[in-house]
Amino acid sequence: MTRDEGTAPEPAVADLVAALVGLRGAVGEVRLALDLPDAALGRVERARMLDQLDDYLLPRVRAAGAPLLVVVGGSTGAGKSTLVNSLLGQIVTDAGVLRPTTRSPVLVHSPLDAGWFRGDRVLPGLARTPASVGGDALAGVEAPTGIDAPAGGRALRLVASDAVPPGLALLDAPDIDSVVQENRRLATQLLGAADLWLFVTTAARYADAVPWELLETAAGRHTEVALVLDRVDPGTEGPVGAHLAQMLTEHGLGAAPILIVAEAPLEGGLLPATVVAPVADWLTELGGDAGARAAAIARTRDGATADLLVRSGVLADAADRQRAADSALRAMVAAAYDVALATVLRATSDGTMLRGEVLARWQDVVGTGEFLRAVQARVGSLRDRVVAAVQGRRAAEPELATAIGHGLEAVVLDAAEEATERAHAAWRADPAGAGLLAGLELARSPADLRGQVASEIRAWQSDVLALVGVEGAGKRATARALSFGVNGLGAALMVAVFASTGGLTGAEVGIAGGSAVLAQRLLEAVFGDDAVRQLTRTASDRLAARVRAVLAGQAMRYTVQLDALGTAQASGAALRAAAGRVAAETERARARAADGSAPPGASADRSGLPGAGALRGAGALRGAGALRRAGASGGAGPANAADAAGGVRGWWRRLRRGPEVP
Amino acid sequence: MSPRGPDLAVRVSALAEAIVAGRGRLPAADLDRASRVVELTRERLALSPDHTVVALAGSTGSGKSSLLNAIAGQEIAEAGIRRPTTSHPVAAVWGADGAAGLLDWLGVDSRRHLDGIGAVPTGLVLLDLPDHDSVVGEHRSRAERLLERADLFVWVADPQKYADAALHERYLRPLATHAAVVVLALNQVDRLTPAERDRCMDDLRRLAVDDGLGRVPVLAVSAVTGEGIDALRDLLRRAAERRVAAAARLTADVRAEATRLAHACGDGIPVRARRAAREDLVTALEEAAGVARVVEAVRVSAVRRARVATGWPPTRWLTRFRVDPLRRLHLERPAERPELARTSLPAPDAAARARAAIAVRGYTDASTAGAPDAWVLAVRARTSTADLPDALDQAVAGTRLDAERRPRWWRVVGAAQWILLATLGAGALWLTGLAVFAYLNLPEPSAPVWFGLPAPTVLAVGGAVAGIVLALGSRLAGRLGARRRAARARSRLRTAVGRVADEHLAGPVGEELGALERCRAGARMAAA
Repeated sequence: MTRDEGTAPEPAVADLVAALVGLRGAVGEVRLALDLPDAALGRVERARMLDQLDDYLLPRVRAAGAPLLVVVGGSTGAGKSTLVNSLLGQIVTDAGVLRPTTRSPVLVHSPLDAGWFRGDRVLPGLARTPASVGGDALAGVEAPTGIDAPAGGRALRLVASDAVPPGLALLDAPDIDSVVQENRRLATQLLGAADLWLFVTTAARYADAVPWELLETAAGRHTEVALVLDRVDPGTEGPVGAHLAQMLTEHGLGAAPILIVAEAPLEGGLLPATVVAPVADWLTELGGDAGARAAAIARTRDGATADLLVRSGVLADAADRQRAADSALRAMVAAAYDVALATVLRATSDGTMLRGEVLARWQDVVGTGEFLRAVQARVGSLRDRVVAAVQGRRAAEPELATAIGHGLEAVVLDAAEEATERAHAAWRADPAGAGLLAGLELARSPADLRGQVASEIRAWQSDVLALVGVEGAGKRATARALSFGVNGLGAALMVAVFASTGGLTGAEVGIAGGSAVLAQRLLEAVFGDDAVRQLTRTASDRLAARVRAVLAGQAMRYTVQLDALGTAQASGAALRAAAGRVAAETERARARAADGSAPPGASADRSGLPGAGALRGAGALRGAGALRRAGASGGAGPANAADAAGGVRGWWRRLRRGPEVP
Repeated sequence: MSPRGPDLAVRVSALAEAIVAGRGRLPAADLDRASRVVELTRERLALSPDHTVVALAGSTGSGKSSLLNAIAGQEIAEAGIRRPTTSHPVAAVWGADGAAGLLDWLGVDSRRHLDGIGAVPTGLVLLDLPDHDSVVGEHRSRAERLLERADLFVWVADPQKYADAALHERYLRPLATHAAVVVLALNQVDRLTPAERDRCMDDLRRLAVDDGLGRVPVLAVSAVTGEGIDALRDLLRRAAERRVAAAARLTADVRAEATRLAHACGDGIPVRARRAAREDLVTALEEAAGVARVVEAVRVSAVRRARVATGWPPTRWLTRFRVDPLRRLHLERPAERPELARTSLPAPDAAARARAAIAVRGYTDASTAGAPDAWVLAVRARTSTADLPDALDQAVAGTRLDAERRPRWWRVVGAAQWILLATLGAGALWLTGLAVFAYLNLPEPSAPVWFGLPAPTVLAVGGAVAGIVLALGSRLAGRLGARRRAARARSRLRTAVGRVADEHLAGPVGEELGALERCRAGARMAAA
C-alpha cells in the first residue's frame, strides 16, 4: 500500500536519516587495527557497510522516489555489456572478447531522470563523466573509446538514453571475478548500491563459486535479484535452467526470476531483438508500474536495513574484541616492566648491592681494614673511630658515589633489558601483538637507555646530598654534620638505603650488614633515629620514582604502537547504540506507514513527468514486445524464450500482487 | 627442461637437511610445507619413472572432459552441460604396465587403459580433473590434491573465463616457478571469429606474462572442431617421450621451497668477530664470579704463609694470629670433586650479576648480527644466565690456586733462620757464661777475637741482625712471590671462567649458528 515516493523528507524520514547518519559515523569510527584472527574479515565488512550506507541506504531513504537502480552484474565474459547495449539498441558500453571489458561503469538513465544522478546522491565516491548518446537507435555504434576511467581509475559514466523508461536506471558494473582487483572491488560496491540486481551468468559459468558467494550475500540482505542466463546454446536451456532454478532455491533465492538469453551471432555489435526480448519485456513492465517499483525498492531497503543492523552487532563485537586485545597487550607490557621495577627495588634494598665494588669503596670511606672488619661486628662504640675515619679520608667518597652509580646503572639496565625481552616474547606469542613488532627492534632497549639511566642516577645522588644538606642545616647537630661533610653523610645514607629492608643472612651480616649498621649508626649519631628512618624512606622513594620513570619510558615504546592504532578507545558501545536508534526509527517509520499516514502528495514530484502509463510510448527498450510480434508471425526460434518470458510474467504478477496482500 | 645444477636426489636430501637444521628456528608452517614437498617428491621418485602424469585442469565449463575425449579420440570422460560436471578425476592411460601404483598414489579410481592409439605413445597418463572454481568445495580439494602430484599441467581456459581472478591468482601465479611444466590451452576457439581469436590469444599471453609464465606454450584448441588437438597431442607425446616432466616438476617444487627457506635464512653471514665480545664477556663473568676477591685472597695468603715460613722466629708466631683469607673462602686446596664443592664466596652482588647478564646479551648480539630474526631469537632463548652463578662457583672451586705450595727457598731461609737463631743463642750463652765468670770474679776465659770484636758478641749480635735482615729480605721476596702466585691464580681462574663461558654460552651460540649455516647451505644447494 505504500506509495511513499516523496522526496521532501517528512519528519519520520528525517529522524531515520539522522539515525542512519549516526550509524554511518559510528561505523566509520570503528578501527579494527589489530591483527586479530577476525580482523581482516571485519575490515572488509566495515568497508562494505560504509559503502552500503553511502551508496545505497542513505540516498534511498533520503529520496524514496528516486529511480529504481538496476545494477547489471556478473562474471567476466558473461556478456553483460553486450546485453545492456542490445537492450538500449545502441553501443554505450565497450563490449569485446578481451577480459575484462567494462573498465569504467556506465549508468544509463532516461533523460527525464538525469537530475537524480548528476549530483553525488548515489555512489558519492565516484566521479561523473556525463556522455549523452543520441536518441537514434544505432547512432552510437562506434565504440566510445577513450572514455576510460580518469587517472584515479574510478569514474561513473552517465548516459542519458530515451530507450530507458523513466523511473528506471541501468548500471553496467565491472566483472565480479576479474583479474583486475580494482574491478572486483568496484563491482561489489556497485552491487551494494542496487535496488535490484540483474545478475548475468552463462551456461558455462552458472556453477562458479565466486558469483554464488555474492548471491548469498544478496539473499542475506533480501536484495531483489533477477538472473539472466546468457549465451545459452539452443537446446540446453531446459536442463541448465532447471538446475539453476534448483540452485537458486538451495541458496534462498527461489523467488528470483530466471530470464534466458540464447547464444546468437551479433548484428552490428548487438544481439537480435528477439533474443533479448525476455529481459526487455521484464524491465519495461517493471518500469511501467510505479507501485511495483516502489514495492521492490521498499523490500530491498528494508532488507538492507535489517541486514545492516545484524552486521552492526557483529562489527561491534569485533570492536569490543579489539579493545580487549588492546588491554591484554598493554597488560603484558605492564606486567613485564612491573617485574623489572620490583627487581630493581629488591636489589637496591636487600643489601645485595653491598657486596662487591660498593662495599670495597665504603670500606675505604670508613677506613676499616681487615683488622677493623673483624672487630666491627662486635665492638659497639664505633662512633669515634668512624668519625675520625670519615674526617681523615674524605677523598674516598666520590669513588663510593661512582661505584654506587655504576652498580645501580647495571642493575637498572639489566632489569629494563629483561623486561623488554619478556614484553617482546609475550607480544610475539600473541597474534595481534606479533603484527605490531616489525623485526627485532623492540626486542632490545634503545642505545640511549644507558645515558638516560646514568643521568637519573646522578640526579638521585644529588637528591640524596640535598636531603642530607637540608636535614643537617636544620639540626642542632649542624656542627657535627659539617664535620662529617655532606658527601660523607650522603654516602652513608645511600649505603643505609641499600640495606633498608635487611634480610641479610650468613656471612653477609658480617660484611654487608656490618657496613649498613655502621652507616646507620653514623647517621643516627648526626640526625637522630627518627630523622634517619625518615631520610632513608625518602631517599629510597625517590630512587623508586626515578627508576619507575625510566621503565615507564621503556614500556611506552610498546604502548605507543597501540596508541597509534587508537584501539584503546574503540568500543562497540557507540555502534550498538547507533544501531539501536536506527532500529527504533525504522520501527516508527513502519508503524507510520501502516497507519496510512503517508502524506498523499508524496508523488507530487513526479507529476511533471509523463504519466506512468505513457512511458511505454516515450521510450521502450529494444526488443520489448518483440516476442509478441514474433509469436504473432509464428516464428519457431524464440518459442522457448517466449516460454521463459511467460514464466517471468507469472513471477511478475506475483510481485505486483505482493504489496497488496497485507 | 630441468635446470642445470645438482641432481634431484641431491637436492631433496639437501632440502631435508635444511629442514632438520631449521626445525625449531624457522616458522613451523614453512618447514611443514617444505617437508610435505620432500615427502611427495620421495614418493613420486619411488614410483614409475616411465610414466608422465598430465593433468587437464581448468574452470568449470571450460571443456576439460571434451578435450580429454578429443585427445584420446574416444569417449572417456562424460562431458555435460550441467555444471559442475566432473566430480571424480578420470584417467586415460596409454601403456598399462607399471601405472597401477602411480594411479593408486594419485588416488584415481576411474581408469581407462588405451593402446598407443594415434600418435600418442605409451607412458602417458592423462587426468581429467574436477573443476577448481565451482560451488562444490570438495571438487576443489580433489583437484588440488592431484595438482600437487601431477607432472605436467595443461590449464584449459575458455574465451569466457580465461581472465578469472580465481584461475590466475590462486593457481597460475604460484606456478610461476614451474613454467617448464605448464601449458596453457584456450579451448572453444570455434566460438570466436579469427580476428577475435587473435586478440583473445594475445590477451591470454599478456596475462600469462603477468603471472610470471611468459615462456609457457599457449595453444588455441577446440574440442568441437578438433582444431589444435593435434598440436596439443604432439606436445604431450614429446613430453612423455622425453620422460623429464616428472623430474622437472619435482625439481621446480623442491627449488621453490628451498628458495623460500634460503630466503628465510637471510644473506648476512654473522660476523666472526666474536673474539672481542668474548673478552668482554669473560671479564664480566670474572667479576660476577668474584675472581678479583679470590686473587687478592691468594696474594694475602701467600704473603702470610711466606712470613710464617721465613719470618724471624722470635716474632713469627704473631703472624699466625692473622686469618688466612683463603681458608675463610674454603679455597685452601682445590676441590677434589668441584661439582660437590661450594665455596664460601659471597654471592655476586646485584651489580656484578647485572653486568654479567648485560655482557651475555652483548655477546649474543655481537655473534648473531646479520642472522635472520627467527635465529636471533632462538639463540637468545638458549643463552640463559640462570645457571651461570653455580657454574662459575664450581669453576672457581675447581681451580688450582697453589695455596699449599711451599717454595724451596722458604725452607732454605727457614733453616737459615733457625741456624741464625742458634748462632744468636750460642753467642748469648757464651756471653752469659762470660758474665757468670765475671760475676764470680773467676779468671775470664779469653774469647777469640773476630773482626776485632769478641767472638760471642759477634755471634749474638750478628745472629740477631742477620736473622732480622734475612726476615725483612724474605718478606720482600715473599711479597714478590705472592704477587706472582696471584698472577698465576688470576690467569688460571680466567681460563676456568672462560671455559664456563664457552660451555654455557659460546657452545650453544655456536650450535645455533652452525644450524643456520647448515640450513642455509642445504637450502641453497637444493635451490641452486
